[in-house]
Amino acid sequence: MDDKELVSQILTGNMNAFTFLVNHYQKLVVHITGRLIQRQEEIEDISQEVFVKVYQNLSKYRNECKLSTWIATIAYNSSINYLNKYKKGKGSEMDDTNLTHFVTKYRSDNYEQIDLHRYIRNQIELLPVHYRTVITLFHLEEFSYLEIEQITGMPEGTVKSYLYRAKAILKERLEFIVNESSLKTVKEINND
Amino acid sequence: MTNMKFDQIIEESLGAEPDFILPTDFTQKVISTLTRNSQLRSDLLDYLYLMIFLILLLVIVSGAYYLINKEVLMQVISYINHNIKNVVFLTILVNFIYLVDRVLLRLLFSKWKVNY
Repeated sequence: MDDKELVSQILTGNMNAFTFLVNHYQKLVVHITGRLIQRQEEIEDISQEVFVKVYQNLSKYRNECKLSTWIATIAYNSSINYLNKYKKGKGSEMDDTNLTHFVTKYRSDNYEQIDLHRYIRNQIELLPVHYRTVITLFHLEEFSYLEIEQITGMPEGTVKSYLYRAKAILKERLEFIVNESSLKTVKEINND
Repeated sequence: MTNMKFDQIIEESLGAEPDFILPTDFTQKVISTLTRNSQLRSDLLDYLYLMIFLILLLVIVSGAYYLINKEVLMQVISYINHNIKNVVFLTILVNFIYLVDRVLLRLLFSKWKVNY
């Protein structure tokens, strides 16, 4: 069933078609709301709100973009509204002290066993919200730059710049973990 | 570790699924919420239509009495004026009972059904 047919089925009142839509797009929605909101207890409520909005506004969907892009836009806007409403002024970035502790903890465990992927995923969650957004949309959901522009309203150049900077930050943090000189620093911290 | 290896690890991690999950009955909950919202809207509209109907009926009956027998209407108005507190209280009470019965209890039961 293509997007157009799915939408027309839902608009005629077919709830099975809507159930199919929810099942099909819930991963997309939870990835966006999850990455932006980062609170498991709120993710379900916001995701539910997203699908209610999708249902209520489906008659306004004009096939000008993919249905996934349209749903992602609603998910993004709902999450940003939530963040603006409840999280104003609360930063989620880890400060240097915490980072050092995190590294130290990893160093004191078996370094060879470090799960780098898991570490990077944790670091992604600590990036600023716009970086997390573009990373999720580009790498996880594989939207194009144009689609990300439609979803977030950020210009293409900004999206590219955020992606580049996000990767640079991650690389920097990864280097800090595995770099010999930083390991010396960690040892010094441990000795102190 | 080489730069290429770094890039490769980062690229792989960026595309990896995050740990956020939705409950298995999420779809059911969404459908229930939509059904409940739609039911609430319909119940509120029913309530509103009934109120409009009753007010119109009152206006028509009052108008008819005004034309047929003005005296009776004046007596009714005078009675209401003398017992304004009781009349207002009774009107609000009847309205509230009807609202609870037709709208609020239905909403409560449908929420209760979803949660348990």
